[in-house]
Amino acid sequence: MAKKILMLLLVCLLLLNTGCWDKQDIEERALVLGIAFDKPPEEELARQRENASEPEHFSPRYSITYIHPLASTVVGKGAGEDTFSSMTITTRSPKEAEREMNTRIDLQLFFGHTDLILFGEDVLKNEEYMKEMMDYLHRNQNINWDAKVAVVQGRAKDVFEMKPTGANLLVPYVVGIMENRRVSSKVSHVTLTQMLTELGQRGTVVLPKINLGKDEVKVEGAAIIQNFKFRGYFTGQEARSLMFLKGTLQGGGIVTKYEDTLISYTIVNSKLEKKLKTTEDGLQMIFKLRTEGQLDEGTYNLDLMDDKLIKTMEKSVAEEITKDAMETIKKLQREYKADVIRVGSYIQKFHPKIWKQVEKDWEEVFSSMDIQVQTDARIRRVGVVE
Amino acid sequence: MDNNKIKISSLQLGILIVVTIMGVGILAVPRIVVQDVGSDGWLLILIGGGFSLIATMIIHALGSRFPNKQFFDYTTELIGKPLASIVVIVYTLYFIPICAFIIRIFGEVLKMYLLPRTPIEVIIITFLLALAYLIRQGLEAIVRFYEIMLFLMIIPFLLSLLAGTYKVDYTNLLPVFQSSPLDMMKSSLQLFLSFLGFESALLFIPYVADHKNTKKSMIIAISFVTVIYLFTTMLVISTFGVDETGQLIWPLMSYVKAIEVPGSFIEQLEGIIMTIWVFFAYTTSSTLYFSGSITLSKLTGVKDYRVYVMLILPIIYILALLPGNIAEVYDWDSRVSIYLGATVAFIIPLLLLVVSILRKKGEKTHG
Repeated sequence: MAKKILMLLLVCLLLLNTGCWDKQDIEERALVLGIAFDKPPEEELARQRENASEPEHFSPRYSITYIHPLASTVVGKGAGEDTFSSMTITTRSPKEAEREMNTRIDLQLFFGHTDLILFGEDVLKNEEYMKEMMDYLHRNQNINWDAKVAVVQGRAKDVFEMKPTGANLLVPYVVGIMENRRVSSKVSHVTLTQMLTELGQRGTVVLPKINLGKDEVKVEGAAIIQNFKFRGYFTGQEARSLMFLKGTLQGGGIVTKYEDTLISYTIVNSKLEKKLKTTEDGLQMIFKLRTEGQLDEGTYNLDLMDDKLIKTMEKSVAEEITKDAMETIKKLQREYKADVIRVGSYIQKFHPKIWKQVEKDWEEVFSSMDIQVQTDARIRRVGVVE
Repeated sequence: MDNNKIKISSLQLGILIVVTIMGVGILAVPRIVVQDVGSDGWLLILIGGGFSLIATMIIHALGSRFPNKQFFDYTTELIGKPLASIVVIVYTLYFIPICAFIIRIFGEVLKMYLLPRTPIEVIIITFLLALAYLIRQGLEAIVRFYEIMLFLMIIPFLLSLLAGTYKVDYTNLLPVFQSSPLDMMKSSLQLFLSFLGFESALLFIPYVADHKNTKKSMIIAISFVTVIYLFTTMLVISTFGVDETGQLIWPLMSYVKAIEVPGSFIEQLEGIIMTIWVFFAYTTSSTLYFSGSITLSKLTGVKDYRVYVMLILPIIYILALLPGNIAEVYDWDSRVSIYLGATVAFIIPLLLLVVSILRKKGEKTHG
């Protein structure tokens, strides 16, 4: 009998002790939904330096903003109250900012559900800062690798302070716009995994760009990071061409001129094929784009049930795509010498012998390379009127 | 253990080999294969699997010559008592430290991803106690436990990995056949270490009831592990590319973190994978721990290995905590595995087999 009681006590002890060390209630956690990295503006620095408790240690390089929901208001009170809290910390390093946060709020930061990571354009202009931030994000074991990454023209922090009309939840609102890449060809979408992988390979990556409006944000265009440094922006149209050339375009529309009228073409499906040719002048790279889609706007006078007409329209759509793509390629080759359309990795994978010859001065080879685009656009459907 | 009473089936032996090989190593395998030969890495798995198959066949050939004798008994018969004692010492010095390092790596990963505030000493001691509990129940209980675990481990593991397959770039596996054969051979020796674990079959072949199926189930076991390794490595390399895979300490964990489940119905599968992976570590270290206590009991001539289960627990605990950091653990681990691993899994069985053929001891190999 005594033995049985002892056993029972031991079992109870086991149950009571399970997981006690790492127990954490959800309301003790600050689920950081978004992080914004900025360079602190000079005037603010000057002001803070005067008030700093240890002025000799005050040499901040980043200003980092975290946004997290307030558990108490999400559960308890009604509308009208702020459901999110955003706090900005000015520090020397990203990890230090995290620790600094813990001295100001009674919660513990948790990055497992982070959905959005934004970079202000200024902070990306410094190579050292960029590498430091990348290492911080890479090394962090908790961070959500699925988080979306974007560059903000201006200050990234302002995105978190904006109150969008019609949308209550800020981070899901911004992420939701990025998810629209399925219907808009101007919106791109890069996850933390993709960014870290591409930066790790070549130090070059193209990130979506966020433009700030008064009560809204606009995701359009892209920013190019080369050798861990911000170099410049692409317009929405160029960003679309880049997506075409990378084979990541998921949908969206193209408006082009046909004779005197404008026609609008919606891409439903796009495919990319690459080919390398060795000619007398050197290497020639051919991008073959194939798109399928629907014509949404013609003009009232045209009879779109005419196959010949559709064929000529297909041609003008294809020409438009080719023209845009060629312009973007020229810009990449001349202005940046940046191979973000993965010509190099294509050669490395499928023509390893050629790659060994050109690997050393790839930037030069790329910038003087002959790159051709061939587009085959198909109009499959024309809507419901003739 | 009484040789006449305890019997396991050949299927159970196969399962024991599978769950012993697949352990903490699986998290790091993609990194190991790409480190020296880049995108040729995934081919290495086939070569490494081939090596292991040969080594397993040698072990089987040796075991089947003495179907009713324990490994150390026929070793003594073959090469005499003094030399046999040295062999036993080598095996003991292999099983116990390797077990300790595996437990340390297990503790490090668990602390990193799951229990950040629990001291690693506590993780390790509770794990060791759970191991000791199972091992004291004897071989039959262990293999029956493995039988249940195999399905609980493999099915959810593969399902979670499959969730990430729809959006990866398989061209990352190219180009192939770029590195020199010499480099390939060198690296596959490294990889061979990830297949270690099958050498414990030396101790357990005598217990198999249906002897004629042993060979078949051993071949199936090694091939199964090769396929799983190949599948996970190809997935990880396709997702991250060669450069990134080489940088990550545990590429498989990072892959699981990066999985985007369509529709975002489930986010973050690492919790599931972590839970399953605890069993991977548990089954591997329990076989090694068990083998370690058996060899030690042979060495000292004590009949019951159970005495040693509790005695070597503190030794494993101390060994596990000895390395200062994770880099040192992998350093020690690879040193012990390279020198001792190849010896115990390949060289000693091969020498013993040659001796037994030359001295015409044991039965003729059948099949």
